[in-house]
Amino acid sequence: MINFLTYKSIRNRKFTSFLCVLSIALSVTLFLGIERIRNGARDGFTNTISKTDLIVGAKGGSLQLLLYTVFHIGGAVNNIKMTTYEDIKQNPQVEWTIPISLGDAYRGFRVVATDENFYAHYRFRGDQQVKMQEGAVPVDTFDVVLGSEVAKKYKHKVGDPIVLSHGLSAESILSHDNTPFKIVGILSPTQTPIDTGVYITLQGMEAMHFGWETGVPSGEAINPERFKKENIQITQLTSFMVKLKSRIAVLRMRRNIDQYEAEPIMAIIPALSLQEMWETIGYVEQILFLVSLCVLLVGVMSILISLYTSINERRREMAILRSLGASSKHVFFLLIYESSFLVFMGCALGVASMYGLLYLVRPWLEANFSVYLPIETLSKTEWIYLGIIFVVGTLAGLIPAIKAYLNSLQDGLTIKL
Amino acid sequence: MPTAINLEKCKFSYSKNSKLVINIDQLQIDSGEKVFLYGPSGHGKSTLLNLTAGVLKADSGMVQVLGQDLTKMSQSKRDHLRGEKIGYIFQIFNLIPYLTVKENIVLPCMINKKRSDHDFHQQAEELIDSLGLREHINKPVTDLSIGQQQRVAAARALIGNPQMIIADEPTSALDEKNTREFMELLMRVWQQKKFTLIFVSHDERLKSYFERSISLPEINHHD
Repeated sequence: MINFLTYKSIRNRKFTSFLCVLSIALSVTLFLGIERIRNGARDGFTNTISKTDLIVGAKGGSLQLLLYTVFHIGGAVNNIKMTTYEDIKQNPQVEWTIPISLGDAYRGFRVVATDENFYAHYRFRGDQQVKMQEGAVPVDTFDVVLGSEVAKKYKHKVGDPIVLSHGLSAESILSHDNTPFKIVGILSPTQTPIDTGVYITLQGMEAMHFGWETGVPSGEAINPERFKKENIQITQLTSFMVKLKSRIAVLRMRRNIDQYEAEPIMAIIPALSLQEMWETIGYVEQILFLVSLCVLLVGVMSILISLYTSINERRREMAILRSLGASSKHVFFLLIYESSFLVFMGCALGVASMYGLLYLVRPWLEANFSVYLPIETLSKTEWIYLGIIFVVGTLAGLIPAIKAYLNSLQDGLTIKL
Repeated sequence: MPTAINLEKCKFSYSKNSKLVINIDQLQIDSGEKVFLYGPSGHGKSTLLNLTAGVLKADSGMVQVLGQDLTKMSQSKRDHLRGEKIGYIFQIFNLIPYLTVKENIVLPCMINKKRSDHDFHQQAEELIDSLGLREHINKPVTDLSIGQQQRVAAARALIGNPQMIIADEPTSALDEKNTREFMELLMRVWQQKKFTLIFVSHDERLKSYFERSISLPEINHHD
């Protein structure tokens, strides 16, 4: 009976009911949408690098080490010796290492010198691997592989020659034009800082600085024999990533590295540092959360307003229902039912439009903000949020319901015109 | 003959210290009787109807309706009794505006499952035919004239064959022709079904339709 009357009564007030549902739906969409983007941004950020247990570099700021190794931002003050790297690499607890050597740029994009371990072991966003879109990994001294964004921006193709510049600024005066590189591959897009890197071999990094021992090119011709890979001696690195065989060993290994005697080096746990860093810049997400909460509140208020204003014009209706044997409780539940129905429809419509919107903005967010948003079913937290919204929205009907209940007690079978 | 309504020493006031609105020593209406209750405004007419329909509860005395003492029953029991056994007609605006004619008529049976012991849809159809509402059956009630609306209200009060019908000034909004038609229809149905009919009005001309007439100002010794 109550279902039937609720349905009919809502249909009778189609337009206001629709507006009510719409405002709930909009706020649900906004709330869940912002939640998704918030989580997507955080996950995208904290999963920029995964599986790596430690990042090792010269002693200095731990944030700095994280920024230049993973995000290609800023630079290292000191390098570390190759012997140190070899020593730690030999440690029986180490599963793999990825050496990184930085310092040069290509038109503002960082040049990252590394070895084949990077392509084999580097992981991001869980278990995602660096893949080649076309071409192959760099093998020879002057081979280079471009991150997808670099290739896209300058419309480079495999086989193109490029000249790297010395130092990190985009308008470098000094360039390595006597040692041109050849593009051998382009990486698939990852929506991580990998896309903005230019990858060469460690030998390539060393070779392009031959004759630069004083800091500027000497201008002397270099014996081509020296450029042969096997003849190049690597002496230093900027940092390196370490994966241990057992996670339990991470903290001890970190302590050992921090106390390494031969050279002042340090280690950070990337997952931890990323989390810390997100927390310092994450206040924006708190604000977003609060704003969406307020929007939700306005949506719920609309139910209250719409039902409350309808109460007086429905006084007659309530007296009629009472005369037909309905109790005051019936009258009360009739309004509670209406509010719960409205908020339920609002939630359903809101979730649907959230998915619709997500589908539309996803490519754009991924391309511009590295926010990776998989279209997944509602998470447990989201169900809980929806549950809370439903309860609060239903409770918004409480005030009109109490009012109607009191009216019906007072009016009895007397019809107020 | 069993009594439909039996009030004894019934007193009622809306709050403890306010004046008595109802103070009736004795009022007895037999089952199957049709009674005209003359009730000009200001003599506790609405309050008396709310008491007999079980919406309000007397402060003292006895209010026996269809064999049950309402003063000894809970609010929900009284609501059930009303829904199950009493038909109620208001003076105007009897109908739920967003329901159709038929939906309005079957509403008492939907609210109270015991109202009808057999298929109430079929019963509604019969009532619709006998009250000449066939062509309006699925119309929204707001499309009907006042006269037609009161016939729908009568049909709704009659569905499920209630033992008692209380009509609270059902003709006050009707013109003379419609009033006559409505009264004739009500008398015809009463003749067939012999329910207890309590017809409240301030219009004494309608007295002639009834066997017995009670004047509220005479029996209610309110303050």
